[in-house]
Parts: sequence; C-alpha cells; structure tokens
Amino acid sequence: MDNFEIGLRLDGIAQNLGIGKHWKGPPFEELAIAACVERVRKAIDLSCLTQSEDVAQEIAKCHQVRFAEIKNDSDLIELERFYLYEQKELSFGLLRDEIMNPRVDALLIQRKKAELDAPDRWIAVLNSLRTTDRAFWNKFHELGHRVSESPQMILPLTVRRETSDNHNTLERLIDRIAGEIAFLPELVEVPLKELTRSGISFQAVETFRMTIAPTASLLSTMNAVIKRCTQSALAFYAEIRPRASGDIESIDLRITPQGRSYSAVHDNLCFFYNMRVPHESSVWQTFQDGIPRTELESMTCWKTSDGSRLKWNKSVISTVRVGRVVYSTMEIIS
Amino acid sequence: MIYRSMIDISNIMIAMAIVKRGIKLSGENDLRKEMGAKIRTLRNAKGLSGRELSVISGVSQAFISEVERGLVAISSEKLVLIAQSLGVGVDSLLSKDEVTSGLSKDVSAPSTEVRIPVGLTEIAKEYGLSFRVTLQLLDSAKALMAHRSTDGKPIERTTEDWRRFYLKVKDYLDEA
Repeated sequence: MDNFEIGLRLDGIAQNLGIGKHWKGPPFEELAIAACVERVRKAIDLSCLTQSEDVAQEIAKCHQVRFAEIKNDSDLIELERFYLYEQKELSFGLLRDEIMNPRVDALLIQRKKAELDAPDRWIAVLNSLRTTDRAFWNKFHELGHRVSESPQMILPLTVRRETSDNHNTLERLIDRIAGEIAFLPELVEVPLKELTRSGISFQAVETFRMTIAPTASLLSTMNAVIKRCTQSALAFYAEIRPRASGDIESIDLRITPQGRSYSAVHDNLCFFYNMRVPHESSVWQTFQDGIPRTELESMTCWKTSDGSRLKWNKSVISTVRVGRVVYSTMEIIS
Repeated sequence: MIYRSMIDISNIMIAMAIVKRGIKLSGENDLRKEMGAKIRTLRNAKGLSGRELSVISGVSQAFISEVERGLVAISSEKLVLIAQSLGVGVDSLLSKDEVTSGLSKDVSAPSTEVRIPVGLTEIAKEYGLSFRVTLQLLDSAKALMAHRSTDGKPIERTTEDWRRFYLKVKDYLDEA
C-alpha cells in the first residue's frame, strides 16, 4: 500500500469519525483518539467491566470481530479448514504465508461471504507462534482499525504519488488509539490513584497489570502506567550495545526511552536515546546481579555524551531485569 | 484502430472481450451516451467529484466530463483506468444492463480496490488467468486488511507469494 493509498485511508478515518473531510496532520491524531474513545464508551457498558480483556471482548462483539490466536500449526490448520475450505473465504489462502512471516504480528481479515450482521465478519488473527507477549496489544491494535475505519476499507486506487511517510502515521495513530481503548479512564482510575499514593515501582506496575491487564506484557503496562500517572515520571529500558557509530570501544549499557507522564512532557524532562547508564546507578547494578530494586538515586552521575547533566536531581528508580534487558521506571522527585 | 497497445494481460483480456462483442469504441453515439451516463452514475454513487476521479484514474478531468456527456470516444486503455477507479469491470460499463455492481450496500464506504500488482499480473500471464479471476484473487487479497509487522514497515507480496496463493485457492475460484 503506497503513501497515497494510506493518505486516502487517513482521510477515510477523519470522515468516518466525523472530525473532518481530510486528514490534516498531527492535530487530527488527538481528535481521532478522542472520537474513538467516545465511540467505545457509547458502544459498550463499561460499568460492569473490570479488565482490559473484557473491554476487548465487548468492543470485538460490537464490531463483529472474532479473535483467532495462532499458537501452533493445529490452530492454523483449523482456521484454514473452517474459513477457506468450508466457507470458501479465499483470503484465508494467504493466511499460512502471512503467519509464517516473522515480521507479522497480526492480521485483520474481512470476510467477503459473511452476512452483514455476522459476528465474525472480521477475523483478527493474532500470531502467537513465537511469543504470546504481543497478543494483548495486537488485539487492541486490530480493534483500533475497526473502531476508527469505516466497515469497508478497501479503496480504488491507480495512481502512485510521493507524499510523506503516511504508513507510519497510520500505524502510529492506530497504536495510540489501541493504547487509549485498552486502558480507558473508567477502568484505570482507581488503580492509578492507588499507584499515585504508593509511588511508582515495578511492584506497583505489576499490581496494576494483574488488576487491569494480566495478559499484557510488563513493558506495555509499564508504559501505559507512566503515561497516565500524575507524577513526573519516565520509563526506559537498557541493554548492552555500542554508540550509533558502532564503535566497539563504546559498548556499554545504553538507554532506549519509553513512555513519559504528561508532567514530564510538559517540563521537557527526558532521556536521550543511547545514553549511557552510569555504573554507579542502580540500573547498572540490577543488570549485573539481576536483583530488582526500588531506590532513591542522585542524578549527578548521569551525563549526556557532551558531559551535560540531566535537568533533574533526584529520582526514585525502580528496576527489573528480564533476560539481558533492564526495565526501569523513574519517578522524578526534584 | 479500435484500441491501442495494452499494458498487461488484464487489458488484453478486456480488449479481446471488446472485439468479441464487435463493439467499436468510436462512432457509436448511443453507446457513448449510455456509457457516459453509467460512469457519471457510478462516480456520484462513490461520492467522487470529476476532479477526484481524474486524480485517481490519471485521466484528465476535461476528458472525463466529455465522456460522461457522450461527446467523445474513449480508448480501451482509458476505459480500463476509469473502470478500475470506480471499482467495476469494463463489462459493466459496456453492457446494456443498468449499473448495479460497484454500488456498495454500505453507502458510506469507499469503493473496492482494483489496482493489479506486478506480481499478480505476472502470475495471471503465467497461468493464463482471466481478468475476472485475477480480480477475484486481488479482491480476496485485499480483504486481508491490516498487517502489524514487528518493525512497522508495510509488507509487500512477491510474485511467489501470489503464485502460492493462487495454487492454494484455484479449486475454489469458480465457486467463489
């Protein structure tokens, strides 16, 4: 799908959500997200739902989506058998090749032969052959497509035209929509208040995860919590790698920034990609010994590549190592 | 000459169909007017302005207007482009029947996509697939509406991908 096609698709989203006739750039992202959240609120009864998975199931029901998670070859064979051989849905002839592609996390297939009111008019196929970690977000990502786009998304296009990188714009939008509908304010308000009271730590994140989204990964929950908390907070993970230049001598524990709270964004507090973790930090210590920590830390030892210090002085850092990666939350104290 | 040189197998098939029907694309005033009216009907049903159809099809807006008014003859090449853009087959524009295909049940929905990728065109040539079957394959592939690749990049289908797809579903194509 080229950029022009995706541009038209973004226009379609704007029209479908009633926010405009044409997609007019980044400000429309906020409008689209708000419109999708409002659609979900109107479509389902949130009062009796306590977990994100329940929300996913209700949204799926309203939007005629059936989830099919592929964990092994038997799952794949069964899906092919039913939809391709019995229902003659030709699209499922592509299923095996797509699922076997390691780059494919999920697919959304619209059935051509389904009745207009069929509960499985769309099938969201989740690729869990290699890992189940992404199933949670893949569900919401595909639901994001269904909530934001019109029932018929297939477009007539014969013209190729160079525009900006619309594919990333579309997928980023859908990811953001997914993030919002997975953690609706009505669902997370109480647990977030508790987290604000207790302070940010991985223990608190894990408690939040088990309460709201037990099937979500730790990383995605960490980001969701940080983005929604009222404190000034950041999230990141760190792994061993060199600088961007690839200089072997520069190999060290380096940061990949993740989510930031609204307060941190407002105050322009952030880490830079590939910033080195000082060996005095608790992040480094957890990487070395694998022991999770939550500690008050002075930021004086954290320096950028040009030797500058960060904008803040003290933080409560919570760290946990998973494999060869250290995940960290940082609540800024001063 | 009735038609110009064709781009790919789909156009050749259409041209053969046109010749078989004995249709001349020039000098048939009634046919021009009927076809022009159909194009206008479909364009309005899709909610497209003349300019938008021009952008999508690559055919000039002025020419489309003249075609819709039955004032000029149209080459089969441009006819294919316009038909593809409207999500219908050339047959439906040429037949004497009223246009019903391409008018979606969901009036808020965009039309079906009919651009034929290079890989699929090659498979169509290799296996001698009709235009109808080629569109059936394309339509089915397009029903696979969203990938989520781990690196965020779009996933493109190769000729081999299309070949495997065709071989897997060919027994169901007539019934589908």
